[in-house]
Amino acid sequence: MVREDIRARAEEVLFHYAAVIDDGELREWPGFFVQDGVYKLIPRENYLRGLPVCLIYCKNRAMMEDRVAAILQASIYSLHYYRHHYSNIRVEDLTADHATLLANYVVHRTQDDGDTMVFSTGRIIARITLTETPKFMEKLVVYDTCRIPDLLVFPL
Amino acid sequence: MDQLDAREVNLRWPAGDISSVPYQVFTDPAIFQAEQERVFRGPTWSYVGLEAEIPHEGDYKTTHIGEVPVILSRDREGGIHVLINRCAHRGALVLREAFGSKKRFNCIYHQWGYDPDGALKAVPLKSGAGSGAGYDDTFCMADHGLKQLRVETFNGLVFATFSDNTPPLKEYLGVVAPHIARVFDGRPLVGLGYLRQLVKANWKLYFENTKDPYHVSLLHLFHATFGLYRSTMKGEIYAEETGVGVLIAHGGTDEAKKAQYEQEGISSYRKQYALKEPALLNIEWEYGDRVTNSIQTIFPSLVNHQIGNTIATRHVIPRAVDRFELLWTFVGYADDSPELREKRLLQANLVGPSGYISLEDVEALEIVQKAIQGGAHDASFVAMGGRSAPFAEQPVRNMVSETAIRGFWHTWRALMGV
Repeated sequence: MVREDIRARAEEVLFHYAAVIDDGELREWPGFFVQDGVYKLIPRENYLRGLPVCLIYCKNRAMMEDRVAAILQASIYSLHYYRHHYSNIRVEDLTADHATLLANYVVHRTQDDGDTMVFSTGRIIARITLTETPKFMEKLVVYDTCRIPDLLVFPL
Repeated sequence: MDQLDAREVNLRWPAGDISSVPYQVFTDPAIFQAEQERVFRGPTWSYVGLEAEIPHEGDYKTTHIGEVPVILSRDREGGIHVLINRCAHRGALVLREAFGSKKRFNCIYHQWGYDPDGALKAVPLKSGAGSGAGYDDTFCMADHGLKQLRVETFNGLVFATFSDNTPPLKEYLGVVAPHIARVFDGRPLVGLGYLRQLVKANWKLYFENTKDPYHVSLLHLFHATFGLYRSTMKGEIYAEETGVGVLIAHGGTDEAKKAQYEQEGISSYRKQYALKEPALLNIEWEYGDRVTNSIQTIFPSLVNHQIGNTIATRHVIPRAVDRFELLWTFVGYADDSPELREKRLLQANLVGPSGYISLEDVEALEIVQKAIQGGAHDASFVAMGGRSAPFAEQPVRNMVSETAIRGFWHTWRALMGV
């Protein structure tokens, strides 16, 4: 696959992922990862200092499914919605079967009362498979908005 | 200053009552201002950080005591200082980064420079320039250092106080000291990272929450379901008159009581819910006991937790009458095995701004703050388990209790003089 082709597919995956989180069925979220895929939502300050603590850390899809179940059945929070926006999407470090996907993101959050805020901004550093529909082998979301407003329920 | 505060705090609260709390204490800006003076700059020990955060000479961390910006620093001899982060010249922040290391702390405004112990060492153009006169003969650099606070440490935790009247730290921590020392046991600590959040609620609501075992299994479904905590569990509540306390819950002993929960149909108990990845709750018993939760509240600024294998300090920083910041500092021990370290990172999912068992606390606090608007003369009811708050060597063993909350209000009323 040529780089431009991979980039286009990777972008499609990001957009689909956003649609699932923002407007779709949260249960589909783990399906964007390979079975032993890793998801880490980590503040920029920890990432830059090599400190390992994450806001959310799933070491496989089973943990993502648990996170989804907790959000849907256990967690208590006010209704709110995300809107993901991506830019500066790049594909690097191509190998025979995977590549690095880099992107910037902004997520707006709208509360049930209709107020919208910039909730989180940062970047994505991911390793994706070079399959027909690429999947995340590892997705690191490094968030700049370190002081989380209120709380964070849904994955970014 | 005290006179001004006394005039401005106008609170109707029957003397001695600690089982109902007027909502005004959470909404009145005048009370928030008075607290800065009487609580945060009063005879209390405020948490500033860990010795492990500033291991070397010149290392510093900037933080706050109440609203006051402070610096935690280490000097050339290894001594620890807490300095007010306000240049003695014109009041600018001297250090602006969250963490760093410098031999000289230079204010950017006019380049006044301080040693890490706060002593003023450099004043550019002190004698003026050209025909300028500079400072007069009475100017003495030794009089213009950064203001130092009293500092004491307890097993790696650093506290500071503005007051000469604060009792020694060990005495202040009282019966809770051994519970802190159980986790902060003197072994070298390693910082594992930070999580921060801004909560739209009064800071005291967080102390009520963390001194309240009654809510734990009712609000937090996750907790209740996996036996990390149930109200029927064995536990203890200790409280000191300084506002320091601890809640302890024991795990692995509660299967018999599970039936009671199911029978009572408490809605937060859902037996269908099981983890697909049980590694999350695969706790290693580290302390020779079966304590799953130990929550130490160190009035007025710190909550420590050990929940399973996750250990953190939660620094409560008041920002306004209706908001506070929570800074979670996660730690492990330098001698952790890689397996144990991984457990700490996995179990960090339980706590913090996205935590399975702490996310709802913020939701609860924020809906209280919303609901009490316009209700300053209405009051909460915290009489579960009695009307008083016994401070005793012996713990309260009933976990359906608001005794520690009442103890908090006893302490707060005494400090505030209301």
